[in-house]
Amino acid sequence: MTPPAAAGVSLSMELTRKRKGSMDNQDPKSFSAPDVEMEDDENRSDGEDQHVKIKCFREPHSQIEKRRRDKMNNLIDKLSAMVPTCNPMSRKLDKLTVLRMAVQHLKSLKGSASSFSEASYKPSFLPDEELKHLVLKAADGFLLVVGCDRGKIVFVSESVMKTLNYSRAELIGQSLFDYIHQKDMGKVKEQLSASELYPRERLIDAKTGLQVQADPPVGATRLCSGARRSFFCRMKYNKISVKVEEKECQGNGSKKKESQKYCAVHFTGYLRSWPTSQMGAEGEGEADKQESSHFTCLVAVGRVHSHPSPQLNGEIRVKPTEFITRYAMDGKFTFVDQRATTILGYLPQELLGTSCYEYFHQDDLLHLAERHQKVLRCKEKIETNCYKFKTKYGSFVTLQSQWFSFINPWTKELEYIVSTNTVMSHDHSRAGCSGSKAEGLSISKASEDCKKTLPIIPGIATTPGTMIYAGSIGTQIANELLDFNRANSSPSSGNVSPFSLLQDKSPQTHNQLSNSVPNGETSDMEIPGKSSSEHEPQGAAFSGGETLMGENSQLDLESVVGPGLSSLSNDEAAMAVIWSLLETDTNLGETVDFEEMHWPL
Amino acid sequence: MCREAARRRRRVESDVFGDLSRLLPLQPSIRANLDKPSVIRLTLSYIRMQTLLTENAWMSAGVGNLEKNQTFEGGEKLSNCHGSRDKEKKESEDCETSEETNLYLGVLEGFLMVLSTEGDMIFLSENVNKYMGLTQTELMGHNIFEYTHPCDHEEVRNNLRLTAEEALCGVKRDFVMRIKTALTHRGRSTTLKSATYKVLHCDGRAKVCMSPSSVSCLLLTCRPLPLSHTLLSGHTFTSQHSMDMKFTYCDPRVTSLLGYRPEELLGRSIYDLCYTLDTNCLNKNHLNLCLKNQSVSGQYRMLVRGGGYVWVETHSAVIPSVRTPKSKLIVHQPLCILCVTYVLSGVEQPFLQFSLDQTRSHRYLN
Repeated sequence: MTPPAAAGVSLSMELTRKRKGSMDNQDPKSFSAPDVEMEDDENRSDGEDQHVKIKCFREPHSQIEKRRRDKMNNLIDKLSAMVPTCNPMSRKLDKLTVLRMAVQHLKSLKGSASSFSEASYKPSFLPDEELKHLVLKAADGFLLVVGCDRGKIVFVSESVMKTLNYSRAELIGQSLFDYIHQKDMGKVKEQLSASELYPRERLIDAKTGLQVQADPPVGATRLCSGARRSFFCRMKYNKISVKVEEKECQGNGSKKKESQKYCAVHFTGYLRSWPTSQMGAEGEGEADKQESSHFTCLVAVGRVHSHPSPQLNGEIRVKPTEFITRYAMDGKFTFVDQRATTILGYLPQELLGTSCYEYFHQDDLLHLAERHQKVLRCKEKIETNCYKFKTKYGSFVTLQSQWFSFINPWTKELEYIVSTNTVMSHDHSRAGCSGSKAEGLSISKASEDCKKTLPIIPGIATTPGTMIYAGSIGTQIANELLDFNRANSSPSSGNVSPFSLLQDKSPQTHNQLSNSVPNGETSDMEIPGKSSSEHEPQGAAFSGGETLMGENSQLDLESVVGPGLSSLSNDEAAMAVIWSLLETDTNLGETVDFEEMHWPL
Repeated sequence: MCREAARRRRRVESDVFGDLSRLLPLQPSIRANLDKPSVIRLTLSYIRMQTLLTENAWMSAGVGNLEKNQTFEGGEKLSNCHGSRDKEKKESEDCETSEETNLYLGVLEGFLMVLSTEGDMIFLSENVNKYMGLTQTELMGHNIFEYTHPCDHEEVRNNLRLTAEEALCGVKRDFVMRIKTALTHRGRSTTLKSATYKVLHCDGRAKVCMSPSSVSCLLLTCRPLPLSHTLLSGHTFTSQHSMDMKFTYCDPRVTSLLGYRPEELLGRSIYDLCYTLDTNCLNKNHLNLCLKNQSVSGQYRMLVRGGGYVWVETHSAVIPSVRTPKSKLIVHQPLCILCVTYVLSGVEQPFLQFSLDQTRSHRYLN
């Protein structure tokens, strides 16, 4: 096998190579005699180049060739995987064989479908029938044609069965309004009103954001954008099917009366108008007499949107013994789900504006305060241990909560803390609850210690004094965070994009607390919250981990919890303990992670 | 000697490629211009689609399918495939179906995409041309990652990932991605080299493929997010926001829908006004806006002034800041968010107050 002369050859040369994957030791300059290689099943010839290829051995060109061959190899591999006759072969097949088998396979497939050689048959990869099904399947939708004058359903596709659970036969000829929620009837009538075939459209011009008037298009019988319709309405859902979500029924006053299920359907389509002479036996005969010359109807695809609550993106799953609350940074309730009332006895308005600490049992204050502090500083969901929450009637209910800080993706500032609260069974002992974090144990141990040292007055949980100090815990925690943020972020105006800020700032490498745990769910970027800088850090405590503990003797746990305590008053002692415990948070060593952001505009 | 053999081999191969391409449902003009990799790509698509369809029929014949209504459709499909039919009748029915399908796609304002879990665009409906400026045959069989914005790759990958259970249940997918379009803003076709990105809203569901040679795939309808909305009176209102989603403007129609006067909303964050369970929905929407400039939220709840909430859906886009009547130049805030919100429901739980804000204001009576 002598390699043919290399340079300057004007015929195309075959580059033989192994079939599998990338080229290993292929030297573009060496060629085996092609006919010898052909017999070898392992090799495949490259028939891709139809043109005469001038051999040039510059690196880039061969790279291009390599890529092309790899791509072809890849395709052939895929093809052999798809063609059933290729599969049982134990050894790899060469390209030509694979291709031939593919031809055979296609011929066999075509046997069951109509032939493509028929001129009348429009060739397409998917028969329209199937395409239609696929579209509706993907869209969870159905096609609907209704007459505009009386709302009579002229046509509906079979897929309505899957979405609304009514059969075609049940619907065709009926009035659409029989199936629409009462409160939406006005809206739908408005959409169908043919007199507004060309409504004064108000379009939003994307460039200026202003509303502009659109000119009415010409030609009454054509489908055109002027006749576009898009609206949502609630449609009746035939109840025979099993899919009923009980929790959605809760408190839905108007719906409860009829015990009728509705689902939100988004209709998008056009008004279309035909001269009545063209109408066949579609059943609109009498109605057309009103409209002198045209039959107008709405042609729309209805896409069903099921209520999102049962299908949440996984973050918050709510079960019957759960309720959701929202706290401001300082622990005040800013949102309370109505389920809370059945569990806690309070109406939302009784809780709103008050601090959560006023309801926590005294024993739990410390650990919850620690959690509060933690949730403000990291992006993960924090689980609390079980704790007792005071109900309206004075008794306590045992809850366990999951908290997370919701950060505004743009400003990186805290919007609020979301709390998902689960009721634990009442005889659940505290020891049994899982609070498996290591520092949780150390803190609870510390709290055990300080419980001994704190003079406990029976009934303290219900005295106003306790409540007042309890309420201020949350405020203190919030203030600490704000102070810290002020101390550690550079001044910037709220309007400047954090994206541009990135380029100016050098990555902060020292340990920082604030919201820097990467969490794909909330944000892609990790920079500290912005706030205007004001005064010197008061709580310099939080900017480091172990290093800090030595710096400030005030923060030394021992010195606070120990002997000094008994000299303080009740409240002060408790506060001091809480302060010190908060400052032992060891999870402080997060590094800030910057990403390159591509800002398209 | 070896040249002859090489030529012969190439000819044989070309012939086989020719045979293959003639078996594909292509217009003759397109067929003539296909290169070899494209022939293979289209063959792959064809085989995969056939597998998908026969499985549809197979599964719907009652073999362990979850939806009880499949038999109705399945029966129809089977008879289409295998029955011998009157040719004329079939043709006229085909015509009808074709028109129906065209209606669908026109009304949908988007195209259909069947995407394998590896990202291969197995099938695209013909009208993809209208949205991407590239034809069905040019695109089919290619991998979507060649066309999507690099920053969106991870999100697309995450959406393509399917467990066996998810595929069987036909889990839903709903995401926004940027895709290259060879259409200019005016709608003229250019080449891929000068392609810009278009924002597409893709939603649909997973479809399982049982045969070992196939992978599961997603059936998606892809719609470009419109930059203009037809507003009819009632039930929609527009608003503008700074990039942190605080209101900077709201159209007066909001009052009859949500009870707030526009001035009451200025400076308020939309997160304050939504039902907490929907925080994630809004967050995702906001992120899409920051990264892709356009988004459509799913349905979420907005709190009504003084009590209760309504279900809404918002379409938004980031636009250059609107010049307010008073100011001429806005240097520091070049961008703002424009929202069109559709109110989907009436006021639910009107007498329940959920948020602190609601306790501080009374219902707006008009």
